[in-house]
Amino acid sequence: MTALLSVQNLSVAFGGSTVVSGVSFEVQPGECVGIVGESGSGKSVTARALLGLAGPRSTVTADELRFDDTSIADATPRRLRTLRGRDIGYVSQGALVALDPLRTVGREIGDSLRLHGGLTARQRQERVLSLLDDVGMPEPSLRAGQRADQLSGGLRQRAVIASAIALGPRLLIADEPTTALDSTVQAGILDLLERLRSEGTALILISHDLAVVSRLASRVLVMRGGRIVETGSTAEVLTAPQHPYTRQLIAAVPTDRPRGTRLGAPLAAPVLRAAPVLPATSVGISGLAPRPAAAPPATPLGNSGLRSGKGPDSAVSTGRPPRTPEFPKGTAGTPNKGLPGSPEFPTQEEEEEEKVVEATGLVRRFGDRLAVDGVSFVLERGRTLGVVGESGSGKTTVARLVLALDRPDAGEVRILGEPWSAAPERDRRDRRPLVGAIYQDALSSFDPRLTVGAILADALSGGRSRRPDAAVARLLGQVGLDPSVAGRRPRLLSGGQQQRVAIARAIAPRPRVIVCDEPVSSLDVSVQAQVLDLLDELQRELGLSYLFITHDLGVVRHVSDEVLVMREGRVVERGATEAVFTAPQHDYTRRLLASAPRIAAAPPRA
Amino acid sequence: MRLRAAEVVSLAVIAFLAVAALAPFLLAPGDPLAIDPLDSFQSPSTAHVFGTDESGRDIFTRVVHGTGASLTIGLAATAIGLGLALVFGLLAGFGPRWLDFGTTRLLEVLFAFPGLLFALLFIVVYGPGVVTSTIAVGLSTAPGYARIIRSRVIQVRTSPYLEASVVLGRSARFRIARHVLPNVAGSLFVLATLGVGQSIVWASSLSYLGLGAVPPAAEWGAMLSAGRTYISSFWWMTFFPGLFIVLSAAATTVLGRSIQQRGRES
Repeated sequence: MTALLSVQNLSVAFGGSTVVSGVSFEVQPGECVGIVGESGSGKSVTARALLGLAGPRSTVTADELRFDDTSIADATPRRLRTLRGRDIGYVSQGALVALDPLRTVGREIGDSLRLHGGLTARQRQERVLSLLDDVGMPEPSLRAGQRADQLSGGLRQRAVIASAIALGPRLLIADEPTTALDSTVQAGILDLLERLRSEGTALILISHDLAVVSRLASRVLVMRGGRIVETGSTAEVLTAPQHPYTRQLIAAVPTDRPRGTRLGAPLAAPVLRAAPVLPATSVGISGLAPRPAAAPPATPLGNSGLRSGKGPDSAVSTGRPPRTPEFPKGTAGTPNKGLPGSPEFPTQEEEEEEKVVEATGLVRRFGDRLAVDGVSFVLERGRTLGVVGESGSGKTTVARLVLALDRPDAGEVRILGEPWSAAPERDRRDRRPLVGAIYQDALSSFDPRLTVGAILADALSGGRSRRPDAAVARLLGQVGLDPSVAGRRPRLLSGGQQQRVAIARAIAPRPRVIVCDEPVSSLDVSVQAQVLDLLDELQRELGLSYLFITHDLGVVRHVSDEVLVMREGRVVERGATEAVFTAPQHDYTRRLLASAPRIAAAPPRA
Repeated sequence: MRLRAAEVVSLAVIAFLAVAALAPFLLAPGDPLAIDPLDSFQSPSTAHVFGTDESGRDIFTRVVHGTGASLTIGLAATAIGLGLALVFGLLAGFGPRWLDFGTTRLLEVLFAFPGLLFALLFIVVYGPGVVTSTIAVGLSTAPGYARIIRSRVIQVRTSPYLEASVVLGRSARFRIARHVLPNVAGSLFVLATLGVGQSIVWASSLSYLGLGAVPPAAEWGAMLSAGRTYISSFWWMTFFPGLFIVLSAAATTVLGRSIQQRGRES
């Protein structure tokens, strides 16, 4: 059988810089090939080059770039257009904005049928409905008449896939098809792609998320810096990665990695152990970081001294001491001690039972909708409370209530035992430094006119100065950034560096608790790992408490001592993280856990 | 940073205008009001590069000396317009919802009138003159600026970095002074450079209609108006003042646009 798509020695350059070089691979009919790598690794550019969409300023060269019997490199623009619509479907990155906001979903899908199909209007209409039905869109006839903004993210993604497969392409290229979707929705989309593949459509799946790729792909290409660094069957690559970068990528996935283990594994160290104890069918990522048959004993709630213990996979940790039950007294050495407004640290005895954040019966109503409905929790000193839920579950509203950016309609938030949400803003302002925040989009949380140094000097001085000094340099050192970063503007930094600056700003006024709202959700896996490690380090050094809000179950499991599972504004389950993850009580939690993507070492069944 | 040809030319024009406005005697040592009836209606020559008018006044001297008046009117009118707009914009952007509603509706009503008509109305009420025409131009440009400033203020006020500033415990005054105003100032500056050219044209139009500076004052619009009677026989009397109006308006606009573009790119 000849390959459906054959790529030999593909290079793409923009101006003088080569962003993809020497990429070769083949896709057989009905096969799913995954391309993994971080942003900037060239995976999306590769995909676009295959479609002749690399852009007018690009130079694409290849020894061979062939789809079936058409050479893509030599094809006329006209031939390329038919190729794109009819033979190769493309689900572009950022599909959430790929739909025209002014046109209905039905028209959007009908267009490709109209341009390539030669059907009557009536036949087209029927075909659109059957396509929507195919991609699992509920109530297709209703949805076909709606516009993009009336659909949720998952439904929009289904609509985009429906238009990509409208003409029955033999190859579907999906670029980050599930990024930015909630995990249950993500699972649905992956199921859909899996079904298309089993029906004979070849698939190129591009993602930074190894877990997503491993679920569908039978072969994986790992890209870095525009080159393929490793390639092989999914099972081989995941269980016995050859290239250090692949190992690093695998190690960085936080799913199922218990609290207290470092994610950013050193390059040289063998991260993997053989996974002989685990059944071959569904090894899960535990194949990479094997869990013992019995989960570690769950930490009972409220036992503030004890952690859920060091993880069983201490092989990956980098020789740092295991988590100690007591907090080190090292806080005295931190740079900005003694700033006005920062409270004295309590003595060891007081620390034991200290409630940093106490929320009781929080209710927040938006119109008729209860965004938050009776949420209570206690966050103790030095601990992390994870809040998980899908979008719309009310977790961000909880964050805003704790930050006192919004007032609860009922219930109360207290910080260090004193009124917080009930206090007038004027009284609260002096105590604001106690509560810090880091956001998903770090960049937009910085004044665009200010340099990193000015932002941090402002935070350190309580707004009195914007001149970077030695304290700023120390602060940058604390978050693992070079002091020279102080002179730069945040938008010129990478996503990970931006988040580090945000963390530096958050810890500058010496807060007791930091509200982290999806702090790593828009970062690449390996960068995400570094940021999580940093947060963990700072927590131990500074005795911080975190309220950690995320939709990513892997992340929440890795960082939290306790976890709240939220749904439609209510807490449906709460408890020690390991207990919730190993023995979920509520149906919804079980569903959520089941839908979380894992790295499956077993090849997908055809 | 590399300058484009149009930017270099604009900068040169503006530099020339600045010198003409601040020290007109350097460029044209004569008296702009000195009449010489024997020398009237001379076409451009080496003695009178731009020619002379009906009273034998040197047009080059008058154009150069008129720069100060025209630019002052242009700048002052823009300043008045932007100042008013800033007040309205901040009130609407920061005030309670009813105030925002009120100011926005008021601005919409003002928008319904063509700007120049509004200026004429003001002059009809307060009488012609340089000061009234400046204020009139300023007033009539304010609604346009105010709308832009209001949306910019709201954009900054609701931005995540302002929220971050709340979380850090900064007061409302601090947030306005240290975050909102500096961030709005950037767009203000661009608006101002774009607006000066427009204001010069408007102020000249008013003078041309006899509602601004009045003859024999050397002002571009007034000179245009005076030359109108002779336009068929003595083209230079209208051409050179007109040329300067066009040049100054074009130069400031080109500069404003390029500042805007560079701001967007960086």
